[in-house]
Amino acid sequence: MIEARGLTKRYGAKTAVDDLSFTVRPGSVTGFLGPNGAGKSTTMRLLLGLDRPTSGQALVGGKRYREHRAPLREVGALLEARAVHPGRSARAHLVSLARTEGIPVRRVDEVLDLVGLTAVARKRVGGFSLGMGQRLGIATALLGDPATIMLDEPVNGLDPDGVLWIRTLLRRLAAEGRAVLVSSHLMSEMALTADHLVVVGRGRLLADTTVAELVARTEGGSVVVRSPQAEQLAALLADAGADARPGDQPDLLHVSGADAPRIGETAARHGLVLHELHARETSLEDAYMALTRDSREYRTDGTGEPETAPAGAAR
Amino acid sequence: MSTSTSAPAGSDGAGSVGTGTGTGSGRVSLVRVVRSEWTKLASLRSTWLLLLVFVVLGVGVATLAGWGSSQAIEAQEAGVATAGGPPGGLGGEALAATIISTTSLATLLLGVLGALTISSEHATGTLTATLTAVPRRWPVVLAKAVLLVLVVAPLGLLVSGLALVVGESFLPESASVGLADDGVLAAVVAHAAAMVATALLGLGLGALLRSTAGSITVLVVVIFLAPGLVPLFGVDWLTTASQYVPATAAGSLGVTAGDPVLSTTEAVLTLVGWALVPVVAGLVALQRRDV
Repeated sequence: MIEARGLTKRYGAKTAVDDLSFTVRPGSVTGFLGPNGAGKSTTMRLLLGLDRPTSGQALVGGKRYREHRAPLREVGALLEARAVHPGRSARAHLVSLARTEGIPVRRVDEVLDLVGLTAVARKRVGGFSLGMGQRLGIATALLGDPATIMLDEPVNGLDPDGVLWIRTLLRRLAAEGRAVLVSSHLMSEMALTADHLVVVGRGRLLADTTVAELVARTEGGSVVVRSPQAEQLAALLADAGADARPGDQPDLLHVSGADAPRIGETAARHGLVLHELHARETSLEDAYMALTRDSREYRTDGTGEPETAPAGAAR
Repeated sequence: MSTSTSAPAGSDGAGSVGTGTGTGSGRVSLVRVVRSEWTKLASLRSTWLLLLVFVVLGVGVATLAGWGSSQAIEAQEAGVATAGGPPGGLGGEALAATIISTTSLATLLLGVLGALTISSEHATGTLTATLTAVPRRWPVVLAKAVLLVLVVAPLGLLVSGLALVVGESFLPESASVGLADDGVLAAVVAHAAAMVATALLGLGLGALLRSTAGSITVLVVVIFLAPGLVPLFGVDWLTTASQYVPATAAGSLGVTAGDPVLSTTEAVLTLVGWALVPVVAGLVALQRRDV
C-alpha cells in the first residue's frame, strides 16, 4: 500500500512534483505514467525517503519509509538499474543489503535464481549488460519478500524475452496480493500490464483511473474514409458539421464528428463511391497522448524540465 | 558475458516470488550494518590493493630511512664528516622518531580508503540501495567509522611497529632503540592512532564532499602540505595552525626528534579532533541532504 498525499517537491524555482495525491492498492499493478521529466522518479525517491518532500506526505505500508525498522521486508524498490559498484559481484551486493536486517544468505541465492543471474552471481557487475543490471535491480527489490514493490522503468534495456518476463512477474506479484507500482513512459507497455493508472505531467496528477475508464473518458475516435471523390465528400461532411481532414494520399480522409454509418449514408445519398470506411477506435495510446499533450508541448518549447531531478538533487 | 544469463526460474509465470526459506524477522541494527559494510569493503579488489600498498609503502619507506641513516652514521664514523658539521648527528631516539614518521606517506592511502567507502557509493549510485536498506542513514556512517577503526587500528599498529623494527635493524647498536625502550611503544601507538584518525578524516570528507577527488585533495593538503609548506609562508598564525595536524600530533608523542611541537594533551586532542569532527559533520550532512 502506497499513499501520496499532497506530495510536493521543489528544487529551487523548479517544481518537480506538484501537490500529487494517489494510492497504490495491494493486489493490483498500478502503472505510473508520464512523459520524461514528469516527476515519476522524483516521486519514487520521495516515497523512499531519499529526497525530502517540500510539503505533503508519502506513506508506504502505513508509515513514512524512514520509520520502518526492517524496510527491505516492507518495500522493494528498483530505482536506477546498475546503481551498483562495478567492482562488486552481484551476490556480494545483495548479501551486503541482506545483512542490514538479517535476511539469510539463502534468500540471496533464491532471488538470484528467480531473476536468472545464478550463473553470473559471482562475476563483477561492471561486466553486466543493461538487461542483467535490470535483473539484478529486480532481485534487489524482491530480496526482503516485501508487500509493496516499486519499479522505475523496469523494462528499459530488456530484450523482448525480458520484457515478457517482467510483465509476467508483475502480474504474479500482484496476484500474490502485493501492491505494485511500475513507472513507464510507454503507454503500450502499461496497457498490457497495469490494472490501474496514475498519469502525471509536469509533476501534476493528470489521471488516477483504470485502463478502461481512461479510454472511455477521452473523446470518440475518428473514421478513415477512402473515396475517389474525397474532395466532394469532405465538403458534404463539413456542411453536415463534421470535420474531415485530408490524409496523406489524395483519396484518404480522416473524419471526426461523424460516425461511420452517417458518413456511408451521406455518400450514398449523393451517389459517391467509397472504397474504404472504417472506424478507428481510440487506443490507450491516443488517450494517453491526449491527456499528456500539454506537458509534452511544454517540453518541446525547450523549457521542459529535465528527465530527472536537477543535479545536486539527483545523485 | 551478457549471454550467460540462465533462464529465469518461473519465467513461465508459475511458482511464487515469495520465499521458500523465509527472510527472517530481524530489524536493522548497528551490528548488522557493520557486517553489511564489511561485506561491501571486503568484496572490492581496490580495498585489498590499497591495504597491500599501504603495508608495503609504510614498511618500505621506513626501511629506506633506516638504511639511509645507517649509511650516514658509517660515513661519520669513518671520519668523512664535513668539518664543522654537527657531531654525532641524531641520537637514537631522534632516529627512531624520524624513521617512524615516514609512515605518514602510507597513511595518506588510509585516508583515501576512508573517503572511498562513501564517495564511491555516491559515484556509483550504490548509496541509493544502501539508504533504502537503512533509511535512518546515521547508522551507515557510524558503521563505516566502526569498521574503519576495526580494520585500520590493528593494521596500523602492525605497520608502524614493523616500520620501526625494520628501520632500526639497519642501525648500529649504539644508535638503535627497541620497542621496549622508553617512549618507543608510545610513538608506535601514536602513529597507529594518526592512521585511524586519517582514515576517519577521509570518511568524513567523503561524506561531506561526496567526491573522491575532492577528498583526496583535502587529505594531501592536511597530511603533506600543511606541515611542510605552510610554515614557509612565514605567517605566524598559519604556522601555528599548521601544527595541529595528525602527523605533527603523532610526532609529538613518545620518542621525538627534538622538542615535541605539541604537548601530550594538545596532541591527543588534535588526533581525536581530526578523527571525529569531519565524521560528525559528514553524518549531519548526509542526514539532511537529498541523495
